[in-house]
Amino acid sequence: MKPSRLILSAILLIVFSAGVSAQGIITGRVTCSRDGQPLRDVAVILDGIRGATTGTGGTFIIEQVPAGSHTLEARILGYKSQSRIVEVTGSGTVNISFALEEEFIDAGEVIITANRGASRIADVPARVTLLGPAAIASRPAATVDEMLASVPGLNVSRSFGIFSHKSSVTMRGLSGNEQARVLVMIDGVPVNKSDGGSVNWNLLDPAMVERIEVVKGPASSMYGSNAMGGTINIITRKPEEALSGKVTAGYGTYNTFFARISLGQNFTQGRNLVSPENQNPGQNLSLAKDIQPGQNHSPAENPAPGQNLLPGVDPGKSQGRGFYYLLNGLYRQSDGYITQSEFDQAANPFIVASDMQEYTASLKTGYNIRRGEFIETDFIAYNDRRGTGELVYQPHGNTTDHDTYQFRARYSVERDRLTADVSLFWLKEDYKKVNEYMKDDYTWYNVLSERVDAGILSSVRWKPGSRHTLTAGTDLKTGSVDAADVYLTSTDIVYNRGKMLSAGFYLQEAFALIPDRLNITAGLRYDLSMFRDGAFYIDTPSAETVFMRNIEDRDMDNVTWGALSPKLAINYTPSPELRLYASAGRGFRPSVLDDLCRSGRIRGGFKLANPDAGPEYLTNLEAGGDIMIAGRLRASLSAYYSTGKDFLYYVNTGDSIDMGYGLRPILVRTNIPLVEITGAEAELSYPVNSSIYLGASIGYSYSVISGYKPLDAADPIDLTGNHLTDVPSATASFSARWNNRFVNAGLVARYQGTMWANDQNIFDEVIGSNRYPAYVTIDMRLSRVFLGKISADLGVQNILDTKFYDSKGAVCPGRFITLELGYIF
Amino acid sequence: MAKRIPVILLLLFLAATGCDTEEPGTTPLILLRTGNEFTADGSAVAPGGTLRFGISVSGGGGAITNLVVRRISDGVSVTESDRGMYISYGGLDTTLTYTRGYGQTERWIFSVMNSYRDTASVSMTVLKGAGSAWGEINYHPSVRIGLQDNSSLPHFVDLHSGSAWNAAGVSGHEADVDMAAFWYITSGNSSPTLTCPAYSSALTYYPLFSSWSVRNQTMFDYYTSDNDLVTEAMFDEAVNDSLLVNAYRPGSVSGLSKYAYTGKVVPFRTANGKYGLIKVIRADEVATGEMEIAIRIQK
Repeated sequence: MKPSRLILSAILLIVFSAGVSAQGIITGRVTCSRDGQPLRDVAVILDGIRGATTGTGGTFIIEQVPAGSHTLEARILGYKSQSRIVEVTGSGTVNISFALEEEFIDAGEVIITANRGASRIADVPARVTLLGPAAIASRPAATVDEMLASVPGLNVSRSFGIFSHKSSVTMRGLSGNEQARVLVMIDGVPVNKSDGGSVNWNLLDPAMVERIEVVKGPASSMYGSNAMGGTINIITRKPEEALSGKVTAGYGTYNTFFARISLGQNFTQGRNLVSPENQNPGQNLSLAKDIQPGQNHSPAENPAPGQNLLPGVDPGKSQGRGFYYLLNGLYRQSDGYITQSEFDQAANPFIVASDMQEYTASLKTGYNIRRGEFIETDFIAYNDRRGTGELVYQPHGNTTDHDTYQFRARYSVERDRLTADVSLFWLKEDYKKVNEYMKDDYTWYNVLSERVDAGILSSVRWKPGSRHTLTAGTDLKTGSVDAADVYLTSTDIVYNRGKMLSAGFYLQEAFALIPDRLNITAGLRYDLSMFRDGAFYIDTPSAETVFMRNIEDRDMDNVTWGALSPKLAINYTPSPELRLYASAGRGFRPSVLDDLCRSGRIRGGFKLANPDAGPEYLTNLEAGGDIMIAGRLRASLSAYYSTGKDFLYYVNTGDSIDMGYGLRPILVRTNIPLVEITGAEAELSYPVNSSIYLGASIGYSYSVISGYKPLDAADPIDLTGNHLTDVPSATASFSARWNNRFVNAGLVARYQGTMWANDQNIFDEVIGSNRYPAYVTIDMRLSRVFLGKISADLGVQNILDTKFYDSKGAVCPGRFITLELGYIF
Repeated sequence: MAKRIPVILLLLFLAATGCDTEEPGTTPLILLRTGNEFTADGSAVAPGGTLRFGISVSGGGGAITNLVVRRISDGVSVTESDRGMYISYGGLDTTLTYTRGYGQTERWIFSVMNSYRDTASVSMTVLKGAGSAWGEINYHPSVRIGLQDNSSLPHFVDLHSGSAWNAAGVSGHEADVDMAAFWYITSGNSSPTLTCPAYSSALTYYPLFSSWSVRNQTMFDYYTSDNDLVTEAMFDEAVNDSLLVNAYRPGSVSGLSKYAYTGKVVPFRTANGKYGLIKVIRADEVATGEMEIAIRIQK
């Protein structure tokens, strides 16, 4: 080598070495300016290109920072962003502290349910409720549906707490026993079964839930059937850290024992780095943490800091490349209590406590392919056995048993102005109900039902310009039931089966007439629903079922229905403090398989299968608005008027049938001409400061049958003018949350008004009135994490020990207390 | 190692939730007992004559859950009894008593099922004997009983003797009691109602039944009563047990007979197989009221 080259190389080496050695480190801490508490999950960005997020103690570190002057910005939802100029010299360490000032905003809340893609709530022309991690963490709910009990306009029907084998959540004046009119989804895939439209609300461990999005009013223009009354989307957690987990065990009233385990790991590259490439805040990397006392600085009701719900971001979107998984398991058992009325207890010597035992396990796996592109799968396995309070000879007496398996796979990609999303789902439920009782003699039969639902859902969003967002897609679904009532004390086997196939095509345009001020949304969906292979028949009938012989139908006619579901809505935001919206939409729902192809005993008579029942339609007109007062108090008001056409309802046929103990009326679910529903909801939310949140709401609905035509001219009963059953006339709630350095405390008080008990609105012998009485409940939850490792959680449901009853006079569990202790690793 | 513990726990949890077992089924066995006290296969019995069948059943590994008795008379099949039960140990030995009908031949089929739904059957034929063997009946023209809240009249009736006792005096006679009555509102209708000690809902009105070691089951034919198939005049004119036996329709019977209004005639069959008729002479429609009945029953 020539000497000149050696000299040049030496110079370059020195220069290069000098450059490398000149890299420094920036460390620091971010706190809340009001109380000095550390803030977790704050994005600290260096020169707008890379950075870090703060950890549990609010600290951060950014290494390999070139010497020189840099801009460092700390930002997180709910606080005003702060920037500092930082001078890094040589290889030294610079320490920077931020004290962020709270910012009371809610316009940045983002949901994905309303438009099948990320939308700011403020831009959605509908009434939306978002329960985020902070709200969920403050609710003492043993089941997912109980979390929704205080949402205005929602009616949660769960008579026996964790001992209920079925529950329903309906909304806005629709009957509390009709889950089929509200679409429920887990991570965007439907879980309403085609058989009865019901949802197994016990399927999901509440600890798996990250947030719940509730969109009220018809959403059939996007989701088709079941969404006639509204949609509820339960978003489950994702793992956030390299390796994290939690093991808990708890004990409660009625000798209730439960244990949970959670284990997650995220190998995503750049998981804790924030740079323009990896800055997508929708990475969901901070959602599994336990909320530390005093650390949960959540100015608004729903999004907690670190929730990563920044405007325009789909919370499901990922950032870097890498694999992640999350395992969850729950076991719960309880000795239970006697639900039956004293009258029933006196009449039946075989009454026992309604006990329960359940397991649920889930595995979520995913792979972040690149920024904005990921694939994810979920598998849930669930098994339960719940006693229904009567034991004659069988080991566990009368029980219900679910074996449920759900699989979901999702692929999502975002490129420039285009977002595409495809989901596959498969839900299988093996349901068994053991019935045994002693009347004249011993009767024992098992209801065995296999219910399968599967489908492919797809959506594409395209933003051709700043003013337009086009969303389109197709949904293909199939559902089936194959069921039998197998008698063990007689020869009968009663079969029913059927399939429902559906295909939906939708298109929606959201047009910003005046950007950020006036948006118009127009959507249209066409659905095709096909009822196939329906059958109802009996093998070797005895006196138990022979009365059904003349209604057998082994080959029901195939039926196809088509329906258009349009929607037009406008959203006007004249100022950041005020928003107004109005919408008109129509929803539809075909009858469920259970009503199309199953006949059988029901309370008050005999239900006849009706394969001729057509779809029902709900047209909804709605207006509402939000106003922010004094920068913190948000008031919301919505009013709606709905008309139900061809409304599916139990109607007396005018005939009767002898089911072995005398004549009983024959009822059939059929279309009645007109139902009118009027209602209003008002909400107040007031974040006193970052630690204290207060909220209140009131809901009112008036549901009446306006047009009724008896099936049989001889039927003297006219339901015209009668109120729909199981609809609370009014609801009200008050919620408070206080997160301080000692404990996180949540309190929810709820009032539920009277509900009409029967179709004829007449006196009910069991209830002792024509209406269920109103009642008030108060729930409370206290939680704390000690030393960052030990969690303690005390929940008290129904503090006042209020007794409320179902249609059979069975009583609720009353006050229910649980204490849960856990170890975080 | 500490980090593996959760994984191990989870695997154990998944393993524990994945197990299920199912037991194999077996075939039950049913035999007709023989002897002088039982009706023999191929024997001839005159219409109205008593048939006694001795039945021995074993579940074959499963519990005995169902015993069905069918009579095929000149090709017409009638299910005389279809009873659910749960006998898991020791099998079933019972004697069944029926009355010979008018058919030329009667084929009697006895079927049993166990908890695995496995079945077995046995049958015999009874020929028609000469003449008529309709039996004598007892007649109790007036029995007054109190409804559930009546404290002055007795409640518990022996349909064979026409005797009735109140709660204080029934001790020692529990095995004789076949019937009681109460009044309630059902499906919006006022209903004076007949019931028996074995009917579970009767406990609502007579909790005393729960402490009785013998609770007789009387089956009332509600169909004949609801549809007035036997009139008061027919009841009054009955001189033997022919009407009592033939009025009873075994396919529409229950331990509870609603709507036992004044003037109704209710066929019944007692736990020991005696057929009879109850005529409701007067029924109050209030819980403190009373019911006056007339009874005709096989001797």
